Amino acid sequence: MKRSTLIDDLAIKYKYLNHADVERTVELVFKHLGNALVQGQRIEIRNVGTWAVKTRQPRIARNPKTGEKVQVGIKKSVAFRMAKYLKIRINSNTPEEEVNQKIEKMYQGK
Amino acid sequence: MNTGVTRQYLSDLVYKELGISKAQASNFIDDIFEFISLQLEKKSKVKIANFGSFNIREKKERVGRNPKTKEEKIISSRVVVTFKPSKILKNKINKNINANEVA
Repeated sequence: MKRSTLIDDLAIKYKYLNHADVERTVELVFKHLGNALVQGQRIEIRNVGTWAVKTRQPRIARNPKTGEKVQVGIKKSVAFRMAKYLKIRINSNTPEEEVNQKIEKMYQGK
Repeated sequence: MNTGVTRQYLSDLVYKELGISKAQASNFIDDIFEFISLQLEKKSKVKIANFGSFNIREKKERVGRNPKTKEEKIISSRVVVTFKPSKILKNKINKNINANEVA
């Protein structure tokens, strides 16, 4: 799934909104999520998971090819932890057909 | 500063942007994550441009140890979701490193 697929899905469900509005809004939402992480904020979306920025300490690494020592500076990365609910869902091995039916129901606004 | 972002925050954002009711805005946010979750449930990757991608990883069964009791236990095979920030986001996050954090 790409962002454009997600936008299409939402546009099908929200028939009263036009596609361009849905597109702009989805982009806005993820822009805010990204900016929050840039500012070092945490994101917590219930039933999906949490995102937090982690700081990796500087270290001396080696170039595995040449064995040369390389200084690696402080680095930040994003840690995502999925929510229990999502964990249960993806481990339930729901047949694809069934998931597709759920998506179909979403389209119909159920 | 560390207030964090929640569904509520995002739903207020959508409410202001689209001029729909607060309830509809809240549903809109729920549905963004529901559509993503449904894809993950189908074990398919989700890639959101400029944000990051969610990947599915199948973990094999392995023997783990309770570090406290040293008891051995089998950790059953399972599926996990990993998140990788996009290059653009990663660069932005790393641009923001300030001097006092380096110390």
